[in-house]
Amino acid sequence: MLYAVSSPKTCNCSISYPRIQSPFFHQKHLASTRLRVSAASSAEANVVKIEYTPWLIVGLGNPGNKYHGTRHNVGFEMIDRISQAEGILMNTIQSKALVGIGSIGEVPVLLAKPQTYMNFSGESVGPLAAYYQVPLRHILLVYDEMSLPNGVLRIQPKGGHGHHNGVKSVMEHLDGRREFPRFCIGVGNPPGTMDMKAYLLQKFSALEREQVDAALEQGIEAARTLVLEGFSSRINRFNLGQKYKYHKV
Amino acid sequence: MAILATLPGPNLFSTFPNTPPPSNNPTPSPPPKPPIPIPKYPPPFKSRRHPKPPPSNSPSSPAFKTHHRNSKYYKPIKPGQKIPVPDGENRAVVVGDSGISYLLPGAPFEFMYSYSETPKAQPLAMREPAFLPFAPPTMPRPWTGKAPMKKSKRKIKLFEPLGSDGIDEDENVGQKRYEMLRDYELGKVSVRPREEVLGEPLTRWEIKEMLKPYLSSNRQVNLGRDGLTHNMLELIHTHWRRQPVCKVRCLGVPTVDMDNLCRCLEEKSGGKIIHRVGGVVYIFRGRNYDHRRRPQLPIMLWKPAAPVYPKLIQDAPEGLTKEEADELRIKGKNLLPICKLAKNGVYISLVRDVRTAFEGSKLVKIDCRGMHASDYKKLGAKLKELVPCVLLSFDDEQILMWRGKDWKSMYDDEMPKINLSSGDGSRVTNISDTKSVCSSPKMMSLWQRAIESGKASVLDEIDLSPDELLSKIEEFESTSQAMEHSYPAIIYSNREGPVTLNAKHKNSLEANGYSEDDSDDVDYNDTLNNDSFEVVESLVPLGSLPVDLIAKELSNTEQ
Repeated sequence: MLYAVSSPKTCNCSISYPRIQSPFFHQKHLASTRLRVSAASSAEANVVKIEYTPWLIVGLGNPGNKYHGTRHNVGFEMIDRISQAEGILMNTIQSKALVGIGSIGEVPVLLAKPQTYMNFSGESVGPLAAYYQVPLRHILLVYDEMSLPNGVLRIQPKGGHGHHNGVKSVMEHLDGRREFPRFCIGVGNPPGTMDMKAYLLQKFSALEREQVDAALEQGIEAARTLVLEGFSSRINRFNLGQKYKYHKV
Repeated sequence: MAILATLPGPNLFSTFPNTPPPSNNPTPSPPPKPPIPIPKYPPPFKSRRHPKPPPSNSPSSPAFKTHHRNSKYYKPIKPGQKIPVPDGENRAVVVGDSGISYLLPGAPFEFMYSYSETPKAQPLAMREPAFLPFAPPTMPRPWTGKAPMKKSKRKIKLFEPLGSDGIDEDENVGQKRYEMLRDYELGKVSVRPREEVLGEPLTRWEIKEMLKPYLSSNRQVNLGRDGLTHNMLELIHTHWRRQPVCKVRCLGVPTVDMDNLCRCLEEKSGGKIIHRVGGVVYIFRGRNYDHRRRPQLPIMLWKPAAPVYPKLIQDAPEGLTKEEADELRIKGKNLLPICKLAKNGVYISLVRDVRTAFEGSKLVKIDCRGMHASDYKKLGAKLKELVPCVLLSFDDEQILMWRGKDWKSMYDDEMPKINLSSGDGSRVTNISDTKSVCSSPKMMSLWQRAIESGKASVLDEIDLSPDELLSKIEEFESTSQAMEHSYPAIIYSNREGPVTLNAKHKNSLEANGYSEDDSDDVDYNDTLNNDSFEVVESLVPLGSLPVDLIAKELSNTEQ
């Protein structure tokens, strides 16, 4: 489970999931490290050891025309963009999901869009991951997140369900495990006292649509970095940049 | 609206119309002059010291009612100045690097009003005459509220000592000491060395055990916008008299710099911090703490006026011209604030957030609506020192900051960050050219297997509408489920792909082969195999399944 991710600098790097925190914050407990590898400064500064274990990138959403383009379906849209960018054809139906198999760089990647309704996504993701023997830490779940403002992306190594029924069902079907990475796409809180479910099943407004489109473009690059390098400081910086991207002059 | 004088005669109109009647001529004629000239009253008397009417959200705490804000006393001071006080020998007010501090004879350190909240900037002037806020050094006789005694009544009265002398506890456990009335000796402080009081460092389990009762108790010392004040030290010692651990809850402005606060707490109080969560700090008094031998610091009797510091916001700060600064301020008006601060909140992560926000933009705005003006100004001053930045404006109760000309990013830019600009770096590969799907051989083989075994199916057209896709999937599901439930579990071997026991294929009967080679342990296997299935499609050479290896070992150990 512990793979060495050598950074291009001379530093002790902690393996498995480094905590997503700014390195300048006073950390009392560093991420649990069982191995410390000091990477020597090599001549090829950009060589990062790639893990060749396959990734399963799942986008959550509701099938059917009725739910196409709604807030809850941003996961599907993200997967579509990734498949276009990487040239992975999504042409297989397996385990109630639309699946495309391919690779990003040297790393084998499986893109999946479960066509069960959102509350039953786990029924399709679980068996799929088991069939292709994808380890838990390489299942990337792409979904919409109401706690982030519209268009803000965040990549986390693990987390909770955030009252998202799709994530809840996936967690159930993965034996209650939460340690799979997530790619959250922010859609913002429902305005005022609007019903949460009605808000999620609404389509985006024009301005929000633009923001989300821009965000999806940025997200493709981030997903590629994640698959190739794992959770590195670049992902940290990506998260921080996304957090403040609307606070620019 | 012009005030119409009352016309003589009965009131012809019951109600006045709100809008003036539409007039034809654009220039309105002046209203008719009243018959009696309106008397002119003298203007309201404005005194020089007219206090401003309190704002609607006037704070009611005594901290904001000080006289100093309205007084015009202004005495410029120079740093390093030592102002002797008329009280007595050796007492002085010192203007040091860290604001105003008070020198008392015999004091272990210079006393200040607040040990953690004095800004690093040099004070410019004082708002009140230099006076030590402590009690006067000696009083000739204790004040009893009565006239001096008559000669006939001068019996010597004995009292128990107040405990202000350094007594050894061991001697006096059973004894009672009596003393005559004598002068109070204020300000005599003897300090035990810190290591002696602390004793051995605490082990982790000791800390855990000690903390348990205090984690959910609300007996605590509250630390607010003035930080660690002088009287708080005495308060901590009174807590320590009864309990070994004192809980200090810090809220508000001082929490921006918790590290400094904790350092001051440890140094001045002489205890050790054992646990720190958010804004709450638990201080242990030390193993050899003795309440009677503690340093008895005189308490401050009033809050001295804060000195005047140089203005926080300048028109042309730090290298900018006024126009550039104004430009930045105008840009900042449309900026979104990065966070909203609550009035008495805990702002531990504020410095870090501001630093990371400066990575992306040179202006940062913080929403401080609901806080007192003095609070967010203090916050701005602290941020100016901690995150090095330049304060541009405080209007609308928002703090607007600029990162300064010599701003250096936290990250050394050798590692390029993921491209944030939209539209770059998206290589849309042409889907129409049929490039062969390449992936790792294992994945490909798994995929092929799935297709062959009917668990997956390849779609011919790719761009299906969601509804069509859904219907296709549903019909596929029904067919594949039928297949799935018709044959048993798939055995995975280490070597190659799954071994399916499939009713369809017609191969030689391998099940018999198994039963011949293996020992009795796997006899149950062959009966099953014989009964339900005709054939086994075997990709694995005989006897090389892990089960076989285990069986061999077991049979070896048996024999």
